[in-house]
Amino acid sequence: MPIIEVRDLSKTYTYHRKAPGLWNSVKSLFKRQTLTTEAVKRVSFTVEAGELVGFLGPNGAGKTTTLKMLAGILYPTTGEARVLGYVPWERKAAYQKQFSIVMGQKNQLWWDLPAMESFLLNKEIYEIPEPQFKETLNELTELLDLHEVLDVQVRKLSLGQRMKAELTAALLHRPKVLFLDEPTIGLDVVAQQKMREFIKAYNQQQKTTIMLTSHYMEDVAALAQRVIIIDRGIIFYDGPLTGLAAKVHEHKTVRMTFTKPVAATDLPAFAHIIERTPTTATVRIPRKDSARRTAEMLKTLPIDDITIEEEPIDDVIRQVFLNHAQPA
Amino acid sequence: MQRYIRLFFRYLSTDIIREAEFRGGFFLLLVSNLIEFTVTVAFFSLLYGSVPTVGGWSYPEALFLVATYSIIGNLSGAFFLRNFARFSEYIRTGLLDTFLTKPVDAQFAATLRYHAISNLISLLPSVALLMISLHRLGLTITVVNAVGYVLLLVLGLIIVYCLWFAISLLAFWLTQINELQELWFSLYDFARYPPPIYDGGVRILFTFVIPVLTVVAVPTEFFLEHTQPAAIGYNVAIAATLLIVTRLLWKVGLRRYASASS
Amino acid sequence: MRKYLAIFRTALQSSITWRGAFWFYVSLSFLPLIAYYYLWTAVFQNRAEAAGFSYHSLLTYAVVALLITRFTSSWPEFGVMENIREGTLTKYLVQPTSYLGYFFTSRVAFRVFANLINAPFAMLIIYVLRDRLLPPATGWQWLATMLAIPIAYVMQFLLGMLLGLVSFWISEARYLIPLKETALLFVGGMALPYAFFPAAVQTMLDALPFKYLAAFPVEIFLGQKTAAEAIAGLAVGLIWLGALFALMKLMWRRGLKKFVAVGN
Repeated sequence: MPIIEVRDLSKTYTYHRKAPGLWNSVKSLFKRQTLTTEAVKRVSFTVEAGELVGFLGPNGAGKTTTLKMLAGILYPTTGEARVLGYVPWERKAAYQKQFSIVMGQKNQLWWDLPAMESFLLNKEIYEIPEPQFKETLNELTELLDLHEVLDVQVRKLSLGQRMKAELTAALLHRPKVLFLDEPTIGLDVVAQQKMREFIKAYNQQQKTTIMLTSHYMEDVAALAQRVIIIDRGIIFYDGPLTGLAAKVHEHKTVRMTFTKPVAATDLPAFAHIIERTPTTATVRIPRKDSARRTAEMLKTLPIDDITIEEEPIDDVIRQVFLNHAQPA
Repeated sequence: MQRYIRLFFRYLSTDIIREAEFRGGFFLLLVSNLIEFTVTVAFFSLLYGSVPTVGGWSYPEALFLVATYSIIGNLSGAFFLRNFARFSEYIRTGLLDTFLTKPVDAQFAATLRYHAISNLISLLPSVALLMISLHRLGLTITVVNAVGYVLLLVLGLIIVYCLWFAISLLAFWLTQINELQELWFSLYDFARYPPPIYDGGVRILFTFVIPVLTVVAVPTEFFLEHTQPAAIGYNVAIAATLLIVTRLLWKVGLRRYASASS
Repeated sequence: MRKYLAIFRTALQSSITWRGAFWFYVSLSFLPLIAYYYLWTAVFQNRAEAAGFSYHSLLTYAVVALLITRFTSSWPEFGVMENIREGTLTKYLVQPTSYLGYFFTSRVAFRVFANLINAPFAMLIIYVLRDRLLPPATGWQWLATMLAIPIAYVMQFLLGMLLGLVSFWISEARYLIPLKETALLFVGGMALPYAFFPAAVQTMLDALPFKYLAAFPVEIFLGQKTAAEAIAGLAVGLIWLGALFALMKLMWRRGLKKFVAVGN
């Protein structure tokens, strides 16, 4: 019996548009143009107990929208979903006691009090028996290294410490399902790594079903056995990570500014042009030997400034699936 | 100086565009201002329904005072409120730096950058009240008393600016309090009533130490023709003094801010 | 329920960390009394009676009305509006607790703490003005006033909630918040006793719930109501609370539907 069942879930938002300028501003006082956007289009998937699923896609792809529907804080426009047998947006207390959602920017801890106070409050809200509370808290304190964090006012904690405290608060009642929305956003590299290790370990130890969203490939690469890629509200890929691995991290993006005009033909053959003006160029080069190829460009082209980036996730996805053009 | 005037009008025009985006908020703000104004007038109307004079001031004289009080309130709300309301936020979050690093006088920018022009619409009922009370008093508008009144209003606005600024400067030292402008509103409230009701220590306090009373009373009394030249001279002196004193306090506060930034 | 006790305790602790700000707001809230004192003292310089009040009774009215409104004030609208506007409402929606219950309990905790800070101010005022104030003549008046005070508190809370919930539909509703202090309390009889209002208006005000905010309890205190009137008034007050509560629940349900449908 799958723990999460989603069938033909859709969500359409309406919003208003105003053209720039003073006259249009005044007009907009009286009439506005209403537009709709389909954030999620007939999405379907199932998740079994204990799975760790990565929900991947560029910004605005529909990941957070889907997660919010599964958490019950958003009604779908059409479609069905069940988590642990419950319809999430009915928000039954019995369901709420068995799941948790952690959203990057929205914290549930009381700002001016030490994290411990919020934990004690959650104990009462979720009706956690005392011995279980103590045991869970100890485990989490060890796993997340909370010793310094417990008795300090939440507003005085660093972002990384705050995330740890938020996670703890979300796990005190031992939820069967955990939704994580962009859990590593805003964290420094070390903290991101620690976060990923924790999520992986927790999933293995507790067999909690975890769905996390991210727009960082590294998150998903490190964690998920299974990846669902969503873009513009449609699922493009739903399967093991290994299927993607070959496609991912194939290229790097190089941006260059030149001291004098450079023609398209002056750029080396291995550099696939993304954007070009006479004095700038953004190109894609294969990851293999990228260092050598970059050195070659530095030698042959009049480069004033150069940056080398990982290929943005949006490009990877579009590039990978543009050829297929059909959702999975 | 000319540059600063041009700059001020540039600030103003960007704000008007922003305000036009307001839509629902604009109308609600208007309604809110109107209701508050009505309540204030209703208070005096009901009071004078049972009592013919208060502190020696008749009903139309009190209305004239309330109208002047509202006009100054609306003007200061339109030009000062948004800036002073954010002052403690600027200091707490370090946003003040954005003003300090530009080639414009930081005090000018930080205190006059933003406006709430929609407040000016609320001038209409206040001016209407002014006209009504003049009519009831049987006074006529002459060039002399009109010009004098307006000049004294502006003088009052300068004093309001300084007092409100001084209160906002407390944010350099009292970082926990976000709503220091409430202190200003509470103090300005005292200026709504006919000045003779205050006596003793409170009168001295509100005339010489925190001169809220003179802000509204002086232009009113001038127009109603029971003013003393000394009071006008006093207002001029106070305005000048406060401008200098608050500027100094600003510098002191800045030093503290700059050395404590994190 | 243990849940609500825990919420109360946590909110109380949070208030304590904000005590500096509390002192600031509390002191400001008592300032208007200074103006009223001078106003009434000046009015009664050359007369003995105004709208049926003597100097002492009117001054007592002003003091007691202010004290009652300050001790029962509640600004749930700020928190509710912020929760709706910023979307932080969702963190309460995912938990197995009633948002309204959570909110009410934490506001009560703030009120308890704020009243601790109010107390010295109130005592100071009463002490300074002790020669000019008229205490109630009989014991039942004290009792009836005490009973009217929780009604005033819950009414302030419900009216504030109604305003706050409007932001489900009109997010700029926050511009109406200052009206609560000025218009609502004026119509509630805080600034001027109802006796100053024209007779027709008084009849209308008597039919509305706002009198329970200030006028009703103060009139009992000053002995302007008979025991029968006081009891009847309290009963009607409870009925009003019931009606406002039902309205609030209705707005909450409707507004939540919209909030959860539209996304936050």
